[in-house]
Amino acid sequence: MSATHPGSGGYIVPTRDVASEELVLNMGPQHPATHGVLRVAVKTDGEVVLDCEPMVGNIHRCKEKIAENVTYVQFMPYTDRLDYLAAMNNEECYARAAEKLLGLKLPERIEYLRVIFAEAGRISSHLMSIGTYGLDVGAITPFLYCFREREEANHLFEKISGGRMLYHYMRIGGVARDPDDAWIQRLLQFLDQVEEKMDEYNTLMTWNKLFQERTMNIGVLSREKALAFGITGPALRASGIDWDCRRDDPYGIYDRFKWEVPVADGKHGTLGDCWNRHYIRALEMKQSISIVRQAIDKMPKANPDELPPPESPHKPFLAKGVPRSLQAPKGAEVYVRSENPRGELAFYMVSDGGKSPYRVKVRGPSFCNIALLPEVTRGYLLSDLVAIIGSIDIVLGEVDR
Amino acid sequence: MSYFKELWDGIRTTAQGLRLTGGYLTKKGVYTIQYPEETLPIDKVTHRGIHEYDVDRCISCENCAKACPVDCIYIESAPDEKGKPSKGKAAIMTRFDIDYSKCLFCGLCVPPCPSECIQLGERYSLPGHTRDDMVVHFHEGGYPIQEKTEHAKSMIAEFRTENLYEKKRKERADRGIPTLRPAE
Amino acid sequence: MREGLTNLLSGLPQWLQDIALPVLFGLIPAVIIVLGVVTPVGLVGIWGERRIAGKIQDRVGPDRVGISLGPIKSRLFGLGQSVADGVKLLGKEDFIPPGGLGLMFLCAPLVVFAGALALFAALPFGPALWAADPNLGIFYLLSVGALEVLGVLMAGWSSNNKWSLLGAMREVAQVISYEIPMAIAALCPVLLAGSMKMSSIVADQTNGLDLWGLHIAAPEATALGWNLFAAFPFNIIAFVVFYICALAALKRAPFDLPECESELVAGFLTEYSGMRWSLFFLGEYAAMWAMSGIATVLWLGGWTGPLHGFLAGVDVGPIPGGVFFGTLAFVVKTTILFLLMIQIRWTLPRLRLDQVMSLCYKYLIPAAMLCMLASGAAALLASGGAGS
Repeated sequence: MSATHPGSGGYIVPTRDVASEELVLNMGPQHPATHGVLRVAVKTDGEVVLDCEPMVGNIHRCKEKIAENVTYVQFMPYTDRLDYLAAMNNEECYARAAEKLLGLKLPERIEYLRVIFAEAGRISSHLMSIGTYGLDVGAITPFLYCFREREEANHLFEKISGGRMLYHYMRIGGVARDPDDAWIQRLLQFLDQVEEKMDEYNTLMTWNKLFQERTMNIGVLSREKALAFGITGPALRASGIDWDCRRDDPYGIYDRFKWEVPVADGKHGTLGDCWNRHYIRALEMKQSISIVRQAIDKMPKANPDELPPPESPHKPFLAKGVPRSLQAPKGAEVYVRSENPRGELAFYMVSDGGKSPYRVKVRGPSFCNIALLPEVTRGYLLSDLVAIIGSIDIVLGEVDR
Repeated sequence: MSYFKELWDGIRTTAQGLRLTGGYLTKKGVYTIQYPEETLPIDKVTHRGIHEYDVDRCISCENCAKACPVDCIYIESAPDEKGKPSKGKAAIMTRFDIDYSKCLFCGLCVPPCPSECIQLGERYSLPGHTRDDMVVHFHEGGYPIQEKTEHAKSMIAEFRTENLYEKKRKERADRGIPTLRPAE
Repeated sequence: MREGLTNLLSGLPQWLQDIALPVLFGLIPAVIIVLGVVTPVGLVGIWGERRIAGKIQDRVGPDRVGISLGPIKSRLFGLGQSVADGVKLLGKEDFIPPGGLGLMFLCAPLVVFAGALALFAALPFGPALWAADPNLGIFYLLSVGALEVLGVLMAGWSSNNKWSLLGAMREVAQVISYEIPMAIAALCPVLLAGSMKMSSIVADQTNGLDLWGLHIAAPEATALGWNLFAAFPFNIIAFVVFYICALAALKRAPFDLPECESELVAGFLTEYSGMRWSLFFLGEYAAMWAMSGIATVLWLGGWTGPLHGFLAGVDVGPIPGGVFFGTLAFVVKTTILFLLMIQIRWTLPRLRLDQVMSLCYKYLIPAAMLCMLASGAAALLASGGAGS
């Protein structure tokens, strides 16, 4: 008597003719493949995963509570530490939420800078996810190639913001510093370099037969399940659902650019498998490169009337009329979402009229996406579990907050 | 037929991969640098490293401590004639500590400073064995400020014309407060 | 010296002489040669792997530890790194997991290392340069190569760790499966040479190309006599099959499932530390080189070929040219195969257990069978048909 598990890749779960025991494996919190301090309790039969349960909360730092105790400006560096691989995108979302709450309007140039930095941050973050996914399935070299390009991005961000990972570049009502032409040129060079080197990752990973064998038809997430679980980001689009917050609920100035939302079509592998999730990221990088180039082309010069140059290099580059002490009207309430590299990040903020928000709720994409782990891993092998965790691409800093 | 196609795909893509890595094997030079001998260039204006602080110019306004999201700056100044902590240009700092085990290096302490006596510098290495090693006592000197802005330079000129540096140094010496900072 | 020692021992009783002479002139030099080869091969192999990995990944790799003797200071491309690491590992705690099988845990690395060591015993480095040349050379090498599985299973079982156990189970399943195509592929040169003796297999590869009954006489230096070209193209396939099986038997990437760090932490090595851990590594790299050596002997003509063919007459000091250049040719060919193993590791992603198995049973075994049949037919044709 043997049975294939429903929805599994067709592995045969061993029969009970021989006396056998289920093995409970504690994967993590100290495990190389859990991308941080995630602990997964895996119930296995030999190598076959019967059930698994992600246990989160190991690095819970009360970020939402901290927000209630610091001012609007002071919470900005904390948002860097949510999804620390895409700090620019977190900052951008929080800055927009706070600006909406405070009723600030942004000058054109700041809007363009926001888009440029958010998309450059997305490229940098996807480089990391693609690289570590290679590491998860045993290809170590593409990881270091991706890091080489990410290093360039780090140099760029360091040059402009002073930080290599936790940038603190976006400010409420502006940005930290206005990039000069030399920096913009370097950014364009970086984009060219990424575009050129992406072939290398694709040779070593995407189109490699062994990589495809490891990732195709594994961890299949159906359309219905993706919707039911509230999955967002590349994982949703890999299941064939054409939804991107930047296009379908446009924020900022995203409606001014021409670009496509990459959606998996199921030509390779199964719709919603690990390979498609990986491939969508690679395609998204290309779109981000195009958006950054368009934004650089269209970006206007700063108008000194609405965007005066800062008095000293220490001062941030803010729009005119941003008060020094920020206070939102009493009872103001906003829910602002943006497309993070890992899915939809949203800030829900309520004000009681004080200097700090009354309540901040973060809707983190990694936290919502990790819920699908038990659902898609049942019946696969232990090796596939690692491949699936990697393809969902979680960042524990944001899962635990 | 798919049997042979898969076999061929495997061989073909493996060969492509080997050609790519083989290219790197024969490439001259590497991307990385040899760290202790070579270091990456650091942008003097933007880099957010360990603070630089001018103890003589500090007016003890505590704006930086108020702006800090993690409250890692501790400020105390010596009492003036009325017995209250001295403020303004005559302030004599007895304590300016930053706890680097708490510091976020966010740079929020820098813009509010009226005398521009604090800024984030180029240093990034602060190894230590205990938590106490992470606390830097800036009032004892050690991390002198490198002036970057016109405003700071004008402040220095102002201090020089009023001989404030010498006065303060003498005052500190009288009260037995250590200053390791070299004389200008 | 040999005569002097024999005279010296002649005073002893005959039975003692019977034991002492083989030990003195056979066993002790053999052990010294083998140990003197295995350890440096392991140390240099580890260093080479790290340097090559660095180069492939656009970084430097270990390049600091060299020598510093007074005025002589050199980094030597970091060649001392393995020695420095070994010294560091010696200072580590010799951890034995509580609740495990202590003695078995202690012995496991020795078994693995002994398996790798024993491979070198029958490896012909050059003309008459071997520790032993048994009649069943290939048979011996393949059997001894399987000793490693035992050590790994012991390590995984005795560690009292779930990751170790899973790693050991994977290793056993994988290596036992890959023994089959490996042995079948190794039979092709044996059929062509009509002998399992390593020296005979090498000697068979010097006298020109046998192409399906058509004999093309060619001098040794053209390398046309190598088994690689015999029964064209089947022995090339057999060589590739053997090489892939060697990768799997040595648990090298893409077959490094027993110790894959992203799934099983470190597999069967999880609980090991210090010198015992490094013994596994020394054994692995030594076995890698030995397996490359076996492939060289079986298909790439061992010490014969262009280098030996052209320069056999040129003596290098007291060493006869045949021995010197033959050994050099063998070492060069083996090292190239060894380096290819390293490059493959840093290029390919890891396979899954069921894929490793299906590769073995669906692709390698049929291919090896086909090659063996073709080689047998070719050997039969070359010897003049079934009647003779």
